[in-house]
Amino acid sequence: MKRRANRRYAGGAVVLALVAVCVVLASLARAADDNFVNGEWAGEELAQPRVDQQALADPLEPLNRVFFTFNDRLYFWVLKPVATGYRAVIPDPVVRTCFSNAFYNLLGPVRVVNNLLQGKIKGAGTELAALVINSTLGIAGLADPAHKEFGLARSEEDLGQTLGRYGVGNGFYICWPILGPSTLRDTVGLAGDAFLSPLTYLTASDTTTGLAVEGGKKVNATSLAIGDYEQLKESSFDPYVALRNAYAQSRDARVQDTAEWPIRGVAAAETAPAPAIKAGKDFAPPPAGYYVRVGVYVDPTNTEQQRQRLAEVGKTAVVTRYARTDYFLYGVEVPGGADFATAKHTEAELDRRGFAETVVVRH
Amino acid sequence: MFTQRMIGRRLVVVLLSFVCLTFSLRGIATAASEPMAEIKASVDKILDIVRQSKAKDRGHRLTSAERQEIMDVVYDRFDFRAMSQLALARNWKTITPNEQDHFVGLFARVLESTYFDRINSYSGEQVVFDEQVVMEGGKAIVSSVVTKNNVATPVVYKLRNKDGKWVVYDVIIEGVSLVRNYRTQFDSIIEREKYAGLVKRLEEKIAKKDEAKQTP
Repeated sequence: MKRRANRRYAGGAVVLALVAVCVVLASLARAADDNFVNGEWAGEELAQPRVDQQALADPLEPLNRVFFTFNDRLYFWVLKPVATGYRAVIPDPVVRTCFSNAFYNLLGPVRVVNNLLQGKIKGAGTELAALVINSTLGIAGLADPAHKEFGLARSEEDLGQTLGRYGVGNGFYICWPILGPSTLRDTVGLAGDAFLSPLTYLTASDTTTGLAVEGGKKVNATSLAIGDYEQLKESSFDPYVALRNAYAQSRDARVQDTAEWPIRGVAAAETAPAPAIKAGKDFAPPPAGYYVRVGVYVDPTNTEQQRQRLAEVGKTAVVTRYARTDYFLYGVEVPGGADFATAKHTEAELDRRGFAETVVVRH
Repeated sequence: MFTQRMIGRRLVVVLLSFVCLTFSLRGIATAASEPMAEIKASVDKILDIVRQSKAKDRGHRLTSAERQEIMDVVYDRFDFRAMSQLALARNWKTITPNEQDHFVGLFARVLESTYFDRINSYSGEQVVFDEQVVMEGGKAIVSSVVTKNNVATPVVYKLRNKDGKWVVYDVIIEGVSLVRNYRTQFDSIIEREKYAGLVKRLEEKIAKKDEAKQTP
């Protein structure tokens, strides 16, 4: 008993150490660039397109490619045939969806805790309610009355997202064998979340059963998604790069909470009508006029980093706070003069100086 | 006196309704050029063709007439040139105008075949359009939700106003932008194999798709 507690302690220390590494890496790698919420191409921009400012770092690419190929073979040679056989045994997708519901329900504690860690009280509440309702009325999570009958909103948070929210950058890309795409930050998150997963404790007490359940979970999930990976491969020219980028984009969207309703995050931030600015102590609405917005961030740390980058090129930026339903977005904006044309001129100048994802807004 | 007043009132009502009518007509006129209405019309039209088709009985294969019909809608609504520019990004300027035109054609055909793969695997998904945001500089974002087996996937279209018509230049599925995804791939291929290598890959992909199309 004591030994196990010690082991858990050691695990915590490892997680902490890895988090520290991530934070350091993030500050080195200008994490701000991965956090762009807005960033679009206006008419003129279409004529002079630019490349993404910074892609997800991938120093382990040769090794990652080996594991990618391994996972690819694993999928086509093992996982897909097994899942196809399993699908033949249980042809009804409703039944298989029930199983996937149950696995989803098991990770309820992870979502509750991470909502709390991010200060999302409402999200934590709905996830806790969903966990309670589905574990009881939903018969151990097989059915999903919480979302279907009660209409609760999902707030899917994990430790990787929580760390991202606190300004921890991706670190670098890791393609794990079997587990698939991840980053340094998300791997740390996964390890941390494992402490809240009942399956971890099952595996710890009975390895064989635990691994069998994990395998069953994977096969069941695959059976519901046969064809998705094939389509990704079919439609891409370098499936490794395609998957890496899709992972990076999707995780960024999840950290910024724009994955489920991108329009509410991205578009609202892009247009950000003047009334949305809430005057606070340090955030009086800026003087009327045009502004070139260089980025929109959830985390004020990123805002500060971007402001310093602008200061380095001799630009004074203002930070505008946009009120969202339960949090704030901070826009870093450079005053662009009284008319649209002048603002566009400023935008082009910033563009040349490496601020790729800019947009002209008016207050 | 009383009746006169009533007539007067009636006149006011008639006049008012005229004003209202002209206002509502103007409302309709502007609604027609709304981005959400436009993209919805295109998507509905395609879904109608797919639903009415007997493709299911023929092992998920649309007839060439049906394909052509869908293609007309797609080419009308998608701005493949803008998508090519955005996907090539900084590399767009390094190729000649002729190469640019050639690339647009190739990329359009790749996207077309990818799109048909999706359509061929259509199995009763429901598409619901959610909301739109029209932005400065003739751009708009329209969100929709595609539901299948109780799994809802958010699909967002980015559009720009091209000569009074809203055309799509990017599609974002669950937070993943199609154009940005291709951009990283193209960039990494050009870095390793130059632009010629990328063109070769596009041509190979199209040839492979054409082959698959001919052998049922």
